[in-house]
Amino acid sequence: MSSQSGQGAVELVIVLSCVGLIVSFCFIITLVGFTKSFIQHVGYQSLICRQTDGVSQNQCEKQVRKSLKLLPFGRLKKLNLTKNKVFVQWQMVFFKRSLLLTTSQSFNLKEWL
Amino acid sequence: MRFCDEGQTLLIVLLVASLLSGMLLFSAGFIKWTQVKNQTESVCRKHYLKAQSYAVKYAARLKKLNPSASKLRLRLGLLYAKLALLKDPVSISATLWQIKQVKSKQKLLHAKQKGLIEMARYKINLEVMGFKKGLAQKFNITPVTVPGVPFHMVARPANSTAPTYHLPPQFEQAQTVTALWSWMDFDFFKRFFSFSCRVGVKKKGLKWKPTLKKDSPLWNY
Repeated sequence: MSSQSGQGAVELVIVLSCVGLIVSFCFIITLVGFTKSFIQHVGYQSLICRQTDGVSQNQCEKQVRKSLKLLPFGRLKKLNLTKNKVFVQWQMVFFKRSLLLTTSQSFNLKEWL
Repeated sequence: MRFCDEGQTLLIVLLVASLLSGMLLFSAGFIKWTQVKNQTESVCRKHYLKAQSYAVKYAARLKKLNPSASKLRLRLGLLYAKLALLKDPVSISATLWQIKQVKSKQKLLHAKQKGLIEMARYKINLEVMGFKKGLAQKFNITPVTVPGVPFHMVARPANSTAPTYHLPPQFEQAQTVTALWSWMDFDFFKRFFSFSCRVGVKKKGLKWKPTLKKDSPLWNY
């Protein structure tokens, strides 16, 4: 009887560990996917901002930092914004392992003319 | 020993599953939202910048004809002055013939000017229609505000056969247009589903160039 309940507990631990692993994996994948698309979006918006008449580089960089603060995890490692190019590097740490998400985009208004 | 009963386990599993699916749904929704926002705004900016580029291009072409128009007007004035002083019928008929020549040249120039104005308006309208069509075809969106890009040149003197054309006063403000559209008609989240683009012109050196204008706020995420 006691060996049966011990076996059940072991099984439950194994099942819970597997479920936990899958859940954590899904959670991380979703979070990373969301963060990546968010920084890409912010990068694109910053490029449009830089091409806008009467808006300074400082204003655009400030807006990028403000937007990225909305992200629940990670920190901004590198931001390089010029008139036609943007480079954003976002660092996330999971289980003491660092993950760098990078977006590099370029855009010139002349492409549309 | 039991860690928890089946009901509790099920509840925990359901909670975790709903949390995960909520996160997934939110992320997927956000990705779709950014796609629609960026792509529709691109369509708008692309077409309106092109329309503005036609406006400044054709305005410059019209202005290039101004020296010829002024010269013809001056010549006509001189010929009329000369005619008033003449008494000899041969000289009078010769001057009248010259006047006729200048007038026909003015008519030709006017046709050129009209042609440029019409062509500019046609190309501008084509771009504005292209914006409307682009949103309707790719995203099934009907824009709320589709402003036309103005092309108003001031003719001086207004009653002349071939006047000189000038940019209207406050050209920069007059050319700035804002298009508005909504992705979804949710009143509650209207701010997040309403997009816009603002395009105008800016003088760089001696030339006018199409440019993006600041929207208020700077960007709405």
